[in-house]
Amino acid sequence: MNLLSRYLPERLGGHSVPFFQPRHAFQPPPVDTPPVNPPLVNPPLANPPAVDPTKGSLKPVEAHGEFPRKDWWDIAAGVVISRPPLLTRDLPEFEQSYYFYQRRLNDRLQLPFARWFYFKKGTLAEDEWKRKQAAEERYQPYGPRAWADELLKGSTEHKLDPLKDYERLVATTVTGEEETMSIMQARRESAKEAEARGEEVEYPPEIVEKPFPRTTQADIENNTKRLDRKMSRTLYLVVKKKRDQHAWRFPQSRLSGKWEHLRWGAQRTLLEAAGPNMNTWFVGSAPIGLYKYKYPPGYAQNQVGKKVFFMKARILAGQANLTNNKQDLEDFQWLAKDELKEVVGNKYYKAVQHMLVAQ
Amino acid sequence: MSSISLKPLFHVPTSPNTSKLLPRIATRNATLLRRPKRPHQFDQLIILTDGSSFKQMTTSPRGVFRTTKDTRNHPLWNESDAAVMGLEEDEAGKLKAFRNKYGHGFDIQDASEIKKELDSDAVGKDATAGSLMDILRYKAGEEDIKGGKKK
Repeated sequence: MNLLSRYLPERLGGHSVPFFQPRHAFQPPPVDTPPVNPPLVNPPLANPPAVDPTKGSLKPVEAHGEFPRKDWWDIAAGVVISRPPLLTRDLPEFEQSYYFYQRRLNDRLQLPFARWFYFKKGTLAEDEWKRKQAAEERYQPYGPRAWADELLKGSTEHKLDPLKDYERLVATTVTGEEETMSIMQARRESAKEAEARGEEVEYPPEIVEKPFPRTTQADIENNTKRLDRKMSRTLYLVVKKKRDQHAWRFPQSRLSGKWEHLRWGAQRTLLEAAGPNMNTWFVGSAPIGLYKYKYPPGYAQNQVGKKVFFMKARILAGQANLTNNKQDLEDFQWLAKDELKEVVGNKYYKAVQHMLVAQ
Repeated sequence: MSSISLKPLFHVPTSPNTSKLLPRIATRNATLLRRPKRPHQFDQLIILTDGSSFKQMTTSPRGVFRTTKDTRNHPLWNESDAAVMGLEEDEAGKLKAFRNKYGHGFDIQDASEIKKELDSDAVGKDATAGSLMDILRYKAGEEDIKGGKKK
């Protein structure tokens, strides 16, 4: 048989192999002759276990040796619950400089501003625009100093700062912000006066005056329990078990009962470990990673070790609560990937690192 | 503008035996292009209703723009936020006037909530005013809404 016979249709001398084949490592390629049944390692039991139809499995159970098998592993479901980033990522120095360069280039190449389209002659808005544009010293792309477009050494003009941006834009453009702020202030004061007089008052809706900074109180204190810390990074939940070594782990527990599958097991695990006060979403039914380890000799009677399959979940709202947890957990933390590396062991991190997002 | 003929820069020999599976080379002869006219753009800071903000480039000279309605305060995107789901904006007071005239029977709210509202302040005020508003606060039944013929 030549190489093409595998892919050609039957009428052209190929095999009846479907066009799309799932690319699993363990799927055998099509062969010329059907495979012979592999011989049984051990002879079948004299009295095979009877199957109860009400309990499932319509096919007879084939015993390939003694039950339980030699390589018996405990199966556990682990939970990798993440809080995805809430903000865009922090730009490194090089990217900030690059975008600054592109902005300056745009300043020099774009058409001049058509002021008469937006501001009619003789209006207050036009006066305000002219006054504000002249107030601050800015780069002038058309003029005697158009050549001085480079970023000077030691300058911080290229660095991104939302608060500085807000103040600069309010000072140089017609925004209506000053009026809005003064009206809000006046409304609040009148509402307070009315309340003091004892009248029924409706407070004006709260608006945020200035844009919030990218770091919160949680960042300043480095409070690892809070979810609003490191808002541009992904945070993962780790819990602390009551032991000296290898205490910090993702929440996990052995699958309980006959019919519990991985996703159920993971949901139950999270509920038992971190409480019900979390709005979570488990992504799919397929695990995203595996951590297996052998028990020390003499630890378990039949089992060789444990295989922990991790399920992916996201937190949308709420917080973990370890009071009355059924897994003997002491503490919890929400950590980014690099912080997690220090806290869990090396071996665990090696098994787990590819499930996690660095950003 | 005259049509541009796209001829390959060098001739690829095609014999009758070679199939049409050989790749074509993307070519364009050097021609004079007009300098593109880029519109004048400004930085603009958009501040959403929940206080979050982002910066964008725009032709509008307004430097700061505050949204009044966006995904952060719309019920379609905030199903789990009870405050957003139940919020009813009544800027001109028309809904309040309607309720004063026709009662709470046409509201989308639950019966328990309406009862709570009635018990709290409204009925008391109406009773003291001596109006017939309490009679007018009926709950519209199915036949009333459908507008069928009265038997």
